Amino acid sequence: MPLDEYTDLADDALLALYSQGDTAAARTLTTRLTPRVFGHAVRVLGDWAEAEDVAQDAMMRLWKVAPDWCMGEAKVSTWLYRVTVNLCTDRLRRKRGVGLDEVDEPLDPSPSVTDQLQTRERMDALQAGLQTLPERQRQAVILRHIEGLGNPEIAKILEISTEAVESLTARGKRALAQALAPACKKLGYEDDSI
Amino acid sequence: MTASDKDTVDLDMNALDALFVEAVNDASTQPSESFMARVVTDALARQSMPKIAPPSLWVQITAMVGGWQGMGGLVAATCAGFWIGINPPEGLPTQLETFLGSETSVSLLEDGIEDTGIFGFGWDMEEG
Repeated sequence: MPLDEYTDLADDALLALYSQGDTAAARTLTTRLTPRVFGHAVRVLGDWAEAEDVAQDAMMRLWKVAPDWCMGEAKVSTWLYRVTVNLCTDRLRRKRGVGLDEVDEPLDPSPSVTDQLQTRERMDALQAGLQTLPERQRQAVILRHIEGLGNPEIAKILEISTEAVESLTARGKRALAQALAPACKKLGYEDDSI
Repeated sequence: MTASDKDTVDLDMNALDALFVEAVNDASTQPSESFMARVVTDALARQSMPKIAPPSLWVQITAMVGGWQGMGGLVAATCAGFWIGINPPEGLPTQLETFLGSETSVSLLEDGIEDTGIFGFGWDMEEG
């Protein structure tokens, strides 16, 4: 099959080809899915090296499950995001040593947000702001507003109801706006609130 | 909520949305070339691993009885039982005797006497 035809194939079809020994399918899946997995991990963890570990682990699990994958039963990207979310959660738990649900909100605007902010680095400010959110809110906000997923898919990934996703993202967005407020001027916004 | 309050809230969320849009296109969260190469290497290495086929029904059955040794013992015992069944050695009680629980009996009378019925065998049975 010509390589450009692979771009039209769905993820599960590519996974089936991969399990049959198709190397081009392996490359296409890697190119398609790894940036999404890595992007999510790096935003959640705030650490590039750890994000690479998580993304590599998640992709390895995909390769392992490929021969047993049932076509049409689940969306590959949803499954992969769920694996990534869980791996990130495990890492954050080990790092903190406390239950994630024990972290309450709302958070006070962190001075570290402004401290870390560089004039050109809006993204750094956003990243720092995201790090101030409780883990579940952070995952939900990233999936919704940066990865661009719909609430039903996020609900499947986080294994919660759609209503809970809506609540998480709304609260997360408010908390993020609050966390970024001190950095508003450096972010280039004229008024003092973001 | 006044109109000015609403404007402020809208502006807040709009600004945040603008940041999200920038984040979507943020190249710094893209994986490096070397990392992508590592993932492809993993994929190809996994792909080249020999596939482990599920065990056949025969293999599963032999495993249940203890592998080839168990299966050999089972076959030997079956053959021996079959042979004893069709050609029992002398002195071995017949199946019927075993079933009825009778034991080897020795007749103290001469052959043919019991056939006359003088001992009232049937009557004894009725008496219980």
